[in-house]
Amino acid sequence: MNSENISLYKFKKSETELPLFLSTIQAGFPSPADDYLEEVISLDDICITHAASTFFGRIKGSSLKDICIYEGDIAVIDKSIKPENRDLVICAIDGEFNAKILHTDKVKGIRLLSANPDFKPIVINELTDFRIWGVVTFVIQNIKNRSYDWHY
Amino acid sequence: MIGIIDCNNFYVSCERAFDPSLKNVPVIIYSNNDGAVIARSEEAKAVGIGMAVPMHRVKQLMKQHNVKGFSSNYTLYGDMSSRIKSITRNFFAAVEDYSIDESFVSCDNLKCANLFDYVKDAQDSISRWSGVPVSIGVAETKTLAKLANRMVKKQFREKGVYIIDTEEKRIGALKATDVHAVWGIGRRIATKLNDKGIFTAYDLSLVDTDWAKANFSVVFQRTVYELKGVSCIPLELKQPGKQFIASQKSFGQFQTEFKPMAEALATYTTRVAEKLRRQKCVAGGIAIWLGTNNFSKTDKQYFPKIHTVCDIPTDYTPYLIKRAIEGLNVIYDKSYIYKRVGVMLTDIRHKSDGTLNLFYEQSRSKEITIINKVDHINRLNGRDTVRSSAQGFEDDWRMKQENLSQFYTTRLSDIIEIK
Repeated sequence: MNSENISLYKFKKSETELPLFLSTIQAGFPSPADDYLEEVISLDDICITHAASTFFGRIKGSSLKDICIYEGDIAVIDKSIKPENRDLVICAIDGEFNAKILHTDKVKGIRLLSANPDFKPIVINELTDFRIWGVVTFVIQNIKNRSYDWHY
Repeated sequence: MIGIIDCNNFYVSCERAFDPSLKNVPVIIYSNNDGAVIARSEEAKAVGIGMAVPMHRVKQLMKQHNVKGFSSNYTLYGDMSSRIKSITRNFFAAVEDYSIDESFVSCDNLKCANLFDYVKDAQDSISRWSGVPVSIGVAETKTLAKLANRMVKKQFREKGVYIIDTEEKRIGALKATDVHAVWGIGRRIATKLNDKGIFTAYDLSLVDTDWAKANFSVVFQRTVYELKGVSCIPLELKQPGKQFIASQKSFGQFQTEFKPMAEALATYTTRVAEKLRRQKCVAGGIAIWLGTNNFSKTDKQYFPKIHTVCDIPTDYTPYLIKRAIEGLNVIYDKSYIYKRVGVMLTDIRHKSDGTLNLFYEQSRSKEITIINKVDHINRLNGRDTVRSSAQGFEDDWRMKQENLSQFYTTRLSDIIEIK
């Protein structure tokens, strides 16, 4: 099924075991599709590369609104990924988890940016109590619940 | 060479991984029923909080030093443990899961030019990927590896890795360790050894192995061999198949009535049945037991036990609860004051195994549908959202867990908040 640039696939719930055959044994004709079945697509396969080091977090507040991440969204965080310049990272700052865009620059040094002009960039100097907890790889948004927010 | 990977202050580290405000502050974890201290951060040790000390005796110290305390969150610790063990297998092919926070690994045949660099990289990655810092000790034998790990904790905390790969280092580590701290040496044996003039691990490593066997046991003799550098406790790589799944807990307060105990039993049975289904197994039998307070000098003591067989091996919670309560009815005697109830599933086999569904196909497939739905709802909305009414709704028998942290990794409503 194709409509312009969006393809639709069948999804499976993670961990749900679907039988890989359609026809039952007792009676009738075997389904001609039996030999052509493939594993269904799993959201876990898409969003999770390293299951053991992947954690979820819920977004609070509006510090990421300019990159369309909003309160209530669920961030998929992989702690095994080495953070790179411009990654969206989770850091522990002053005893709280914050989501920030990591900027490493030869001149300006390391800075943590928010995607909201109301929040000032945080410059990392040696005195700042700061460590990167993990890198955000995917964000899950409930779009259906949000459809009243936009003016289309 | 054998390595041991040991999580530093495991329970405390799990709490810290999801609550950054706990960094650098003293943290302690309470035992079941919030009775005593079972884990301490280094800061908590430094302010003088002892291990296994009853809670009422540390209250003052906690207030004075602003110590943060938590009920033990085994849901969190268990999940973190299995994550760490899974990550460990990325670096080591042969792993023996030894306890909730320790694994032995084989350091032979690793694809690396330099063993220290490889182990250091593994130590760093396991710590970072899981969020729980680990230390790794490596040596010729398991017992020496444990000693190496002790060296990390005492002297090389920053490095996180210590390898005993020379005779000099072996002797150094032996001399730095009291005999009671050697893996496999209990307090009682240590006292006996002290009487014979053996005080350090080094002293012990010098004794004659035949003497060790004659005066103590074969197990003890092995320890001596291992300290000498002769490996005789191999890695146990194959997990012995789980033959039973059990749950026993003490009541929050002592019980004499049947109803609250039946509710507690139904709840523990629900837990073991959930575990059974996670392992894709069914149980052919169920054992339950009761216990009175064996510390009491005045109470009458009673420790009855009963085992019953299921009609067919099953994983269906309502059926298992029914059998458990029937068993309780048989052994319950209202003239005692009970402290605990336990349940154990026996004769565990894979659910695809054997005769089970042959005669019960119809009812069995209905059960599977129902219980899968229940598991699904409870996974999303939290444990016991849908439950058997036998579990009841009052919970004065329940374990005291007044300061439990969230189920950060296993419950969607409990995941960390990000600002």
